Amino acid sequence: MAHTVLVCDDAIFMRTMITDILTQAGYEVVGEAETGAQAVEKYRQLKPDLVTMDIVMPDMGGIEAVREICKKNPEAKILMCSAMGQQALVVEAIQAGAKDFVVKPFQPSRVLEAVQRLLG
Amino acid sequence: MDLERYTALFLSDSRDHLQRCNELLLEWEREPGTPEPIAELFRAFHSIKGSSAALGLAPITELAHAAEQMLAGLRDGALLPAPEVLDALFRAVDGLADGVEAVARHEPPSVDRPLLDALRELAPAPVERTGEIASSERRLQERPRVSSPKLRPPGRQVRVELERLDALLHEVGELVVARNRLAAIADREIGSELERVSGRISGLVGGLQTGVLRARMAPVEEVFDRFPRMVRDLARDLGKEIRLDLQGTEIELDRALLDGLTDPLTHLIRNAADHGLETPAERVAAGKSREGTIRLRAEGARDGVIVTLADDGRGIDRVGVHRRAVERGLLDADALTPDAAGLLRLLSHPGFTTRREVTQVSGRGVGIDAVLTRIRSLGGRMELKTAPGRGTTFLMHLPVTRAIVRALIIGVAEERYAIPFGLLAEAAVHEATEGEVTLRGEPLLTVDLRKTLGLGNGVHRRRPAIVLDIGGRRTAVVVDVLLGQQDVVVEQFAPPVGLPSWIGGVTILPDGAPALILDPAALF
Repeated sequence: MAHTVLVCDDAIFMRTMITDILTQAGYEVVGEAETGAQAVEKYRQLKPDLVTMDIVMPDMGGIEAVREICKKNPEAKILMCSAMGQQALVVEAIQAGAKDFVVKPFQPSRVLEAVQRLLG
Repeated sequence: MDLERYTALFLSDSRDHLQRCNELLLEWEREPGTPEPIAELFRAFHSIKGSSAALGLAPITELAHAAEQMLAGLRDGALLPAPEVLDALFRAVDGLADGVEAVARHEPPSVDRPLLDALRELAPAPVERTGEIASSERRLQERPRVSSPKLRPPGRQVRVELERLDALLHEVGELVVARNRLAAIADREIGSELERVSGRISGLVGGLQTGVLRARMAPVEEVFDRFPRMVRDLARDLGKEIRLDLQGTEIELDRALLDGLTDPLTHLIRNAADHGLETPAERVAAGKSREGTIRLRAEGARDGVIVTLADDGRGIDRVGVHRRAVERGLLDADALTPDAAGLLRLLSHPGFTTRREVTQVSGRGVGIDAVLTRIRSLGGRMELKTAPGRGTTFLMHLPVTRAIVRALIIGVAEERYAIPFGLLAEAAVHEATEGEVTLRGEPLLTVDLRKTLGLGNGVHRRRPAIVLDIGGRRTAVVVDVLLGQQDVVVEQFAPPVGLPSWIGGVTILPDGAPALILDPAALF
């Protein structure tokens, strides 16, 4: 069965792009979230195998969402998607429980590599 | 990578973000005390930065990044929201909009070096990224979201390209024509099974038509929303104080009409700001408030939507218009000073202007002709009201959609014509072969369609006349026969040069014959 993924980003552009990359590689995107709060809620409902998480989102930022998700499931596999110049935030996200990160603009191969590594 | 799809997403996303940036900046400028909308602005620029980078649009990325840096400075307190800072952010939004529109035209966006330099000069030097900054960045994300005064209607929304809706509407239009033909056949067999099925199909097609038309509707705020920013800039450039009052922003219009409305409204608002409103000193001297008001209002009407643009400025100088018209040979020297309708006719002569100087803002001439032509091409009509010292009002009557209109089918000689219901008031009988139609003892301004069409005088004495309400004035059009009412599908066509202005379009009648759609307002 295909691995399931939850894509979290406030930009529909980014969600579409990430969804395309993952779908073409045979993953199943089971949900999308536009805010950190939605990400936490949808994670709880959908229990995806993997989450891609933007850092800058309204309502609740991505780092806070990582923290919330990992509180409930420390094993959650979360891939941070950060823009350039957010290295410090990436470090913070990893400390909060994210497992890896990719930097925008994405190289599809880099995204897939990180996803494959996380899903083993 | 499906570049076209991503580009379309990028365009619609970025336009939304930039529109929101303008709103936020205006709000911030007007009420510096409100919770600063830094977080939302930051996210908007950030999002544009991310998606433009993904598409390799470096000039846009660079500009968005520079704006983002300024916001980082504002957030950290390294930069204060001084007027020049807000101004720079406004210019960044403009620069990004230019870039986005270049992409929309399939052109590479250009780098506005001076703007970039200006932004970078204002933005504080980037601070070394440490954990402490990181947490301040997190604070930024956790700031309460500035609540938007206009909440989007609840429910899920989808974006659909207008072309797809156009194609769907075209199909529905063909279906309506086919339904009308079927109904015409079924009417010959009253009480038959064919008639029952035809009636059922009519109802279903009607529902489908309404549904497709509704899917094309968008609130006028999508057009109105750009004007606060424009008026702010105009006021600055002109040294005037201008308040823009928007009303009825939730009124909906067909997307295509809405798009067509942008240019004429932009033009009229520029005119109002430049020519209509006085300087603060002039206003005070005239016993008015320093601040001039431009009111833009949409309201539902029986046959469509009325968009009103009113200013409380000096009004149009009838005597000046009269003089210029005489100079240009448009009026005889002894002609009376024009009334409102006459004024609009004179102003809409191509290139007519009472101003001799060219201004930066509205350029040469009033350009009312372009506005009027556009409003007519949208199936609407325009009226003018003006009072010296009190201001000028333009009323634009627009149909809700221009794709399908309810029309009266009339016959003149061998031909049939469709007259949209919008202006119809009632029907009357013309008792004479020529002269004016009288309605309840009142003679009406009358046009005999036979004469307009070059068919000579009417042959019968008693002929039907349609009474129209054009801007509150009753007028009459005499025809040969009234044939009934019909939903007609307006076929798009490029009007040939020299086509009389009273021909508003063409449609296909239920029996498959083409018919011209008349614009009765243009007959008078």
